[in-house]
Amino acid sequence: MDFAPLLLSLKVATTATALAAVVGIAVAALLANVRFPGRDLVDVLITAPIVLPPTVLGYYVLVALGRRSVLGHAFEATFGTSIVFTQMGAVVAATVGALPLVVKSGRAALEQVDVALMRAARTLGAAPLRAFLTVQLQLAARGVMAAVMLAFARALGDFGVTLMVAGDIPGETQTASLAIYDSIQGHHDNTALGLVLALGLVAISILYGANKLTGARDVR
Amino acid sequence: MSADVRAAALCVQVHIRASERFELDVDFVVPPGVTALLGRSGSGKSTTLAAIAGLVRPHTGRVALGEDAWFDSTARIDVAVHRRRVALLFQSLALFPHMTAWQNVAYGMERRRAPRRARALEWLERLRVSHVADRRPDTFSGGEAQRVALARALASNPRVVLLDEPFTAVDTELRRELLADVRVFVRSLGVPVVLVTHDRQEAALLADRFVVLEAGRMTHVGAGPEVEG
Repeated sequence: MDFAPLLLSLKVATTATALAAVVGIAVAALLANVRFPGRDLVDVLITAPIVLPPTVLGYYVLVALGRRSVLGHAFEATFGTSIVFTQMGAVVAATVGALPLVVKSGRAALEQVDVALMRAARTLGAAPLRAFLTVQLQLAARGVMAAVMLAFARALGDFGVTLMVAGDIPGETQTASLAIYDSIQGHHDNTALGLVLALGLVAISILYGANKLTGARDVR
Repeated sequence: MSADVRAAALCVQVHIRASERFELDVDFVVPPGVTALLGRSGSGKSTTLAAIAGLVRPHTGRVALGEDAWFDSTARIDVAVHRRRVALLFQSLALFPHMTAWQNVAYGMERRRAPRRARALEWLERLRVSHVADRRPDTFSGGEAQRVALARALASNPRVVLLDEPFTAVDTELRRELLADVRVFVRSLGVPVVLVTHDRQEAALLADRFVVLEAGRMTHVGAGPEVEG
């Protein structure tokens, strides 16, 4: 069995999860703690990938990051390579899918922390960032960790957006999900089965771990 | 900390339109010492405290400690909560559940001055709760939690102390002890203290001055027990 697609999936999902965690926790903190005009709109736009068809989402990402776009052009001029149809594209595709999970579940976990504790931290001289890092994030750590784990599982299994943005180039952008599809098409059922079992096992283990984390007694 | 800053009075002019039906409009001065803010629930006591601390932004008004303006709607001044150095003792105590007693007390201490643990232990000692120093709040008794919260508030070297109905959840005996502690420690700080309470006895025990609120308006300001009627 060829492990390359599985290893690529792990690499892409890890990078995407790291990106989604940093951006997602920051956005979740903003949505949970700051009232600003357009807050609901930001919430809707960030979580839209959950309900949008992958092809629609993939199309948007292609338009936003393709060679003819401002972003795509600037990236290519700076780094000498394009985003689309590269591993970078696969990372972007996985991040777009993973981000809403971090934001939605992360925000819910942060909002469960008693607001009086944040106020106490502020009156004791903590700037907003210190209050967030030392009180809110630590008390919501289990929930936020679970959100990040779900994001990883989501990133690991992305198919549609990855196919549209990164293509299906064996050895370059062919992740495990894409390899499963190709194996089935080419009647390589054993290869497909190996990958299916591996992906399924990882995803279910993660879901179990996340449930354990959120089900355990949360410190409030 | 210079003596003149210590001696400064807190000036509170706050106007908040909370809703169609509720409007808070107060204007009083808190000299060093304890001023009780009395009133029924919903009269605007806690909102006034929140405005002093900077947790609620008034629509108009001015909050200043001596010459140091914390909020001024005409001069567009609004100093952030964490820069006001106000110790607020919450009704719920709001002890950080993931930190031990000494870590709670050390949270508000200046971080440049070491060692924080030793200084936190001193405060716990003074309030007779040094035996819980390494324990977390979920293991404290009601009285221990009150004392740790008080130690945390006082240890932050506050310029103003705000007490929001701090002893409502404890029995009479303990309450008497805690009030005695508050009287000693809060007075020794020599800063303006606002005690929010609906208990006139508690107010009479601690305070030198009284502000009575009714439906967002002040109905009495002054010294002496005549407000008790």
